[in-house]
Amino acid sequence: MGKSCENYKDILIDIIYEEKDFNKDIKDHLKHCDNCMKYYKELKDTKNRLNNLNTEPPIEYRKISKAFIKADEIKKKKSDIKSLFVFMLLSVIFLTMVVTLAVNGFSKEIIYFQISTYVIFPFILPFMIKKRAKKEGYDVK
Amino acid sequence: MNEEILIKLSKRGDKKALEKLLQMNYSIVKGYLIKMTLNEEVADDITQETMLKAILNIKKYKPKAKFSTWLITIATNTYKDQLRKDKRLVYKEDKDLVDDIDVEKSILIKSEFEEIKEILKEFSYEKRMPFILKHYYDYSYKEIAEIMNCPVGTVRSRLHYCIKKIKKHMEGGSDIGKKL
Repeated sequence: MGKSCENYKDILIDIIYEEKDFNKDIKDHLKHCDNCMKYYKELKDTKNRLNNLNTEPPIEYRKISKAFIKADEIKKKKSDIKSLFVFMLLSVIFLTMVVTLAVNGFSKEIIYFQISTYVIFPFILPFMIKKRAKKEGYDVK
Repeated sequence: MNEEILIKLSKRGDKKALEKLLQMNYSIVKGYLIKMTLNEEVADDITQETMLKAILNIKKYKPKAKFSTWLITIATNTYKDQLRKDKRLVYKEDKDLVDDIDVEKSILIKSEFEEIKEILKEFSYEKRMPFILKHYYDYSYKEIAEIMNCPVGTVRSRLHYCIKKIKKHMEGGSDIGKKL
C-alpha cells in the first residue's frame, strides 16, 4: 500500500529537521502533489519565522562566580557534618573500649596509657599542626 | 583550550577550567530556559541552580554526551522539580523579555516574538521541550529522548504535534487558546 499525503507530511517535518533524507520517493511525490509541495514550503516558512525567538543571552560572569561560592559553602557544610559524625563515632568506640577494659580489671593499664599519651602528645603536636596547615593551604616551611 | 581538555581538568578539581566551561555554555542554558519558562526571572533562578548543581556534581559527569547536553538535562530536571513545587511558574508573565534580549528588534519582530511566546505558552512543558530542543538547539530525536527520559517515538510525535499546531496558528486557523 502506498503512502498517503498525511504520511508524506509527517516525513516532511522530519526532513526539515534533518532527521530523514530527502530521498527520491519524496521528491517524486512532491513533483506530482501540489498540496504536499505547498505544505513543504509553508513548513519552511514557519520554521524561519520561529527563529525570531532564538535569542542569545549574555554571559553573566558574576553569577557563575556566585555559584562557585555557594558550592564551596555547601561542600564545607557537608564536610563539617561528616567530620562531626566521624568524631562522634570514634568517641563512642573509644569510650566503649575504656569502659570495657575498666570493667575487666585493666584500670591500671588505662592510667599508664593516659600518662604516656600526655607525655608523647606535645612531641607529635607540631607534626599535626604542619599537616593541618598544609591541608588548609598555608605556606609552611 | 578545547572542551575535552577543560572537562578532564574540571573532573580533576580544576576550578578555573570548570568556570571556563560554564562560561562557554551559560548562554545556551539560559537561552533554553528562557524559551522553556517564557519568563526571564524564573529562567535566571533555574540557570543559577543548574550552575550550582553542575559544580557540585562535575565528577559524576560522563563525557558520553556534549557538556551542554548534560547542563540542559540538569536544567530540564530542575525546571520539572520547580514546576512540581510551584505550578504557578507555568504561566508567569514577563512583559519585558523582548526588550532585555534585543533592543534593536523591530516592532514587527517584537510582535512576532510575542506571538510565538503566546503559542509556546499554550503547550504543556512536555510538548514544548522537544520542540525547543529540536528547533533551537538541533538535538537529534535520540538525544532529546535521553534528556527527557522518554521513547524516541514520543519525542517525534510531540514535535510533530507542536509544529502542526504552530503552523496552523501562524496561518490564522488557530485553535490555540484551547488547552493543548
